[in-house]
Amino acid sequence: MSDPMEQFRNAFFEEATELADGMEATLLALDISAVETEDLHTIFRAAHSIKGNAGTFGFPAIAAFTHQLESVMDPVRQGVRPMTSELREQLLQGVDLIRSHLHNARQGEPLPPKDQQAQDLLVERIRNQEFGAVVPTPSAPSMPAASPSTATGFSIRFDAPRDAFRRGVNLERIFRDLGKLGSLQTWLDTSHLPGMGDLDPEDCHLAWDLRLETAACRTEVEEIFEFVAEGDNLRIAPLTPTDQVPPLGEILEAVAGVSPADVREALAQQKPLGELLVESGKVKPEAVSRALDQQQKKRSQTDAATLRVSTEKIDRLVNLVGELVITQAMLAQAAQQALASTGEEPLASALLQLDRQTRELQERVMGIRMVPVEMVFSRFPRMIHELGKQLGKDLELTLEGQATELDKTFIEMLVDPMTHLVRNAVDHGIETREERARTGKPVTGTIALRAYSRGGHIHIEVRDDGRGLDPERILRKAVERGLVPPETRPSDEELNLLIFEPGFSTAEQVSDVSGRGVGMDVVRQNIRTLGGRIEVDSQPGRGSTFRLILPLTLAILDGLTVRVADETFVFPLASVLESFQCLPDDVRTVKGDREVINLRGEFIPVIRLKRLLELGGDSDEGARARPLLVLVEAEGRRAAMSVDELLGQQQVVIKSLETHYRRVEGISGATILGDGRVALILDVPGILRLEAGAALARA
Amino acid sequence: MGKCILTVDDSSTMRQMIVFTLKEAGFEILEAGDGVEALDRAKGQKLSLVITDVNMPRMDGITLVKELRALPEFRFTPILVLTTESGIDMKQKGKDAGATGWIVKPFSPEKLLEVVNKVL
Repeated sequence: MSDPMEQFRNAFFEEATELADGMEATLLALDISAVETEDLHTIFRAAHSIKGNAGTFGFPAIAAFTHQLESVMDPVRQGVRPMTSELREQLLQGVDLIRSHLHNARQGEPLPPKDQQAQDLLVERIRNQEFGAVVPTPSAPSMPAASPSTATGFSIRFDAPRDAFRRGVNLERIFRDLGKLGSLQTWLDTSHLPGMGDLDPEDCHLAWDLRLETAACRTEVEEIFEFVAEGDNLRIAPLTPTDQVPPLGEILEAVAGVSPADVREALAQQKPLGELLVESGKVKPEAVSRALDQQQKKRSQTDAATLRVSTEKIDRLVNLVGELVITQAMLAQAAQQALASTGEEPLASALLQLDRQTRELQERVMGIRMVPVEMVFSRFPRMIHELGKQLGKDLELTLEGQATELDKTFIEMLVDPMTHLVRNAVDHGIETREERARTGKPVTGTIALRAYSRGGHIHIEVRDDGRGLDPERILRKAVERGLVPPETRPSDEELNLLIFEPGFSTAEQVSDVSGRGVGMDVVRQNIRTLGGRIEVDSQPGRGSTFRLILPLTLAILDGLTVRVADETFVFPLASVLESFQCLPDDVRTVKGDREVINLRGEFIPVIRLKRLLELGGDSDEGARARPLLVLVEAEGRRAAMSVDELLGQQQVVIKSLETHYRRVEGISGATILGDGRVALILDVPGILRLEAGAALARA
Repeated sequence: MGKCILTVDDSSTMRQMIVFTLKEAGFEILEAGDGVEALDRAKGQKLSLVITDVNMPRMDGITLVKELRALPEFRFTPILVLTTESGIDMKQKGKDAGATGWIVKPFSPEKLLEVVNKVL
């Protein structure tokens, strides 16, 4: 086990990153004209927690900086200072600086000079505001009700639980902690004490009426009572200038002899707010249920308990389970043969059960690696906000299917391609305000991100309601670049795919945001690396949708299994375009021993895998009357690879060859087949490089 | 002599984290890997606080709380249970057994100290 402090530090970095993300998300969601106090508390708490933890784990620079952010937020959350869009921008910049701090601290480095300067400037601006800010007078109508000039705070009735002493509760501590929040007055109520004869000295019969003047929020007060609040023994009501008297029920209890039970019963008859509002026709029932849903969601968010586990541990588990699945398959196959003769029922059913359990175990273990796609989506609200400002476009972002789960590795590798697609959509897709107005579209452009799973794959869409791809412009460009022969007219769908060709950009003006001619091919390359593919739907004038289709996990690959000589190989299905049988005459030899095939007018190099991989065996695919070819594409190049037999299409569990043997050019990994034999997974770009090298050597 | 805290957890990582945090804060620490070992350790000691996990081999945390409360010297000692569920259920079970309070996992060192300070 490594240094414990090191582990805590890693946990600190992760948590601080999450807190910074949360702070950013809250800031972006803030409606400046109608700020929710809870949001302000969230922002404050994020800064506060990072500060506290940074101090604990030895990052004084981070602690000092977050302290500044915390102190500027403090008066804001208390309603003493208003939240402004200017302050929001400053805090967003603060989030960026926190991230830079975290990033550099992780590498053991100080903040780079550029960021240090930015930080100094920001702190100075925040400070100036802090001291120079005009605090609105309490009479200002814009101020929230909780104005600080009059007494704010709570009147609290607390009936200590009967078992408080027996549970080791320190009641004194509660009052001490309350006292720290502000000025506290207490009145002890001993009226529930039984007569001496009935008194069990270990029972607690005490109750208190408290008056706490404080700027703290209700949650902070409730937290102090966390271990002693049970149901109705704690009542907290806000103090208001006019209402500094106990609730009516309490007076009635004291003066008119109404029993507390009767008061409770009467109180219980009060209807929930939603019901009352619906009855009076102020709100629709659907709106109430939506609001309740939202509330529930908030609740479950805070309730979701998580456990941090290192990815390394999980990967080891995933590997082990992968092996277990194979062993189980081998066992099942062997048993099937043995059982065919003896027919032992109990063994057969036990094996069936083992099969089911192993499969479920595998699914569950794979599931540990899955994280919600929200982790990628969450960065886009900020980006859209910034891009909109930068390009002077009104943008709206909608997110859908954020709970869809993806392999964690994907999450990291999806960031770049998605960022690219979103930037493109905003820059090239969404028209200018004027243009939108002219064409009768809403001035605000919409970018929609959507994730869903379908047929064992995860689909992620980036959609915009902009101008869409222009097939004519793509055609012109494609002809110019020799990608399409002049005088031909491919379908719009085929044309749309051309934007993924290296160096293809149709943006007439290169802008800061996107459109330097590199990019879309890189996006496609990245998605292919993940074993996925990309689709485009576009309607001129209506917008485009880019759809990324990804496998559920990196540990499993959709493969085409083939036989070459006596060996089985797996082609990643993502790089296979088609497979076909050709006539011997279709393959022609050019320049000595290079072979090409004329496929619908295009000459494609033929690679004889058997020769390239130096495989022996009896069969000679060259001698076959009708060679079997698999057409593949990688890094923009195509090739037809000759194989002896197509075995089938199946999902395989990827094993690293490097960790078990060594790196082999042209092979990306291995897998174990159901019968226990090992099959190698072909690295298509590697094969293409290998062939280029071999051809050079032969020449 | 400082205040002594007994921490009980079958996960050594979790224990290390707790021990580290509390030692930094100046407490003396005793450790145990399950309820049985904890009872053994606790006997004859003057403890200011017991922090125990719930799910443990041999004897779980809830049973440990009941056993401790049955011993005269631990009748009024603050006991915190660590729970992975924030559900009312486990909190109530802990309370019924005689626990003073709870800490919901995962928690930061800061949160741990905060809760410890709440009951000490």
